[in-house]
Amino acid sequence: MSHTSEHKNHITPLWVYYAVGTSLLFLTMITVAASYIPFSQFTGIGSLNFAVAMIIAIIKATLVALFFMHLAYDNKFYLFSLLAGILCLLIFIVVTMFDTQYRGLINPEEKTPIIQQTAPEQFVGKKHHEASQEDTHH
Amino acid sequence: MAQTKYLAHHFTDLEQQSESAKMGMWLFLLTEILLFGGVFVAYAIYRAWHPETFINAHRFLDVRLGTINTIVLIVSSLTIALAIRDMQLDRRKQCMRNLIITILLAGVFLVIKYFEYSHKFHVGMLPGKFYTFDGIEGTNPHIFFSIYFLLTGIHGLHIIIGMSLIAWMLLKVKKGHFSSNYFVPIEAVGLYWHLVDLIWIFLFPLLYLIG
Repeated sequence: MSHTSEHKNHITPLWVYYAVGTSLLFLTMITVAASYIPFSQFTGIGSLNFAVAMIIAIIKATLVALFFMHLAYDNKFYLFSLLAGILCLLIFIVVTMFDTQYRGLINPEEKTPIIQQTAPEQFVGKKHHEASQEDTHH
Repeated sequence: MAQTKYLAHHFTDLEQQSESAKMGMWLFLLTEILLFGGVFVAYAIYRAWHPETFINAHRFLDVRLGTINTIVLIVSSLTIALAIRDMQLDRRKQCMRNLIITILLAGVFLVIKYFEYSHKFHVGMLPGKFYTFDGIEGTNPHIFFSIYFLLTGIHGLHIIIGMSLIAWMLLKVKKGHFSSNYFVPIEAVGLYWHLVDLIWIFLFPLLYLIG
């Protein structure tokens, strides 16, 4: 029993909280400063600024989750639950983005991302109907 | 003994009781991530469709105020973590002080948000069909503000709920309901508050620092 109650009452040393808090504030300053540096223009890599901002945000989130939320010491089921949530979110984003950005690559009738497509005539109204009537049968 | 004072009859011991409570809280936080996830997906799609608009529109958000709010939330996360530590050590006075600081910082966050919102209302940077601002180049600038108000609005609602929960905890600490043997409700509220901070850690660069 003694080992389990020790586990439950894990008391994080004060310096850990202050170190994490200071690191979070420091990383906030870095991410604000980095947003003013046009990395993308220096390197020619399109979304490098976005990548830098996201990497810093992920480091900050990891610090909060591990130390403020005690995931580093607590039952690992909690960590599993958080990671499951993040995994579902990633599937949600990646699959939806593949659909909206690249649908045209596998569907020859719609060669462009769906934002650039015009709506099929049955949804547009009578005006465009006559002009495109010949395309309706495949 | 603490075991009999706090233990509900359907648990074997306090350890199992508090682990179950925290497990429930973490499962709830999982659904919270997915709640915000829906709007994050909308953000990703519309940013991919209108990259120019998003870059032009984000320049109209105040990075200075956004940075101050980020610092405010990080410090409030630190103070609630310290409040829980104080309760682990049976230091009620310090715990109450840290909870009060957390509530005040949440208030500062909301006041700054209020100034940001009222400025946007004033110039007509509103979501959807209410958008009347003229001066952002790019296609469909109202979409950026629809997503901005959705994300910060749901987040702001969480701040208000979090403030109320912390105030409730403060009251219970004051009445002496908690001790180093039993403080899992403060831990759960702390987890909720940290999640609100986590979401803001991503909202801040996505809305204020893009480009």
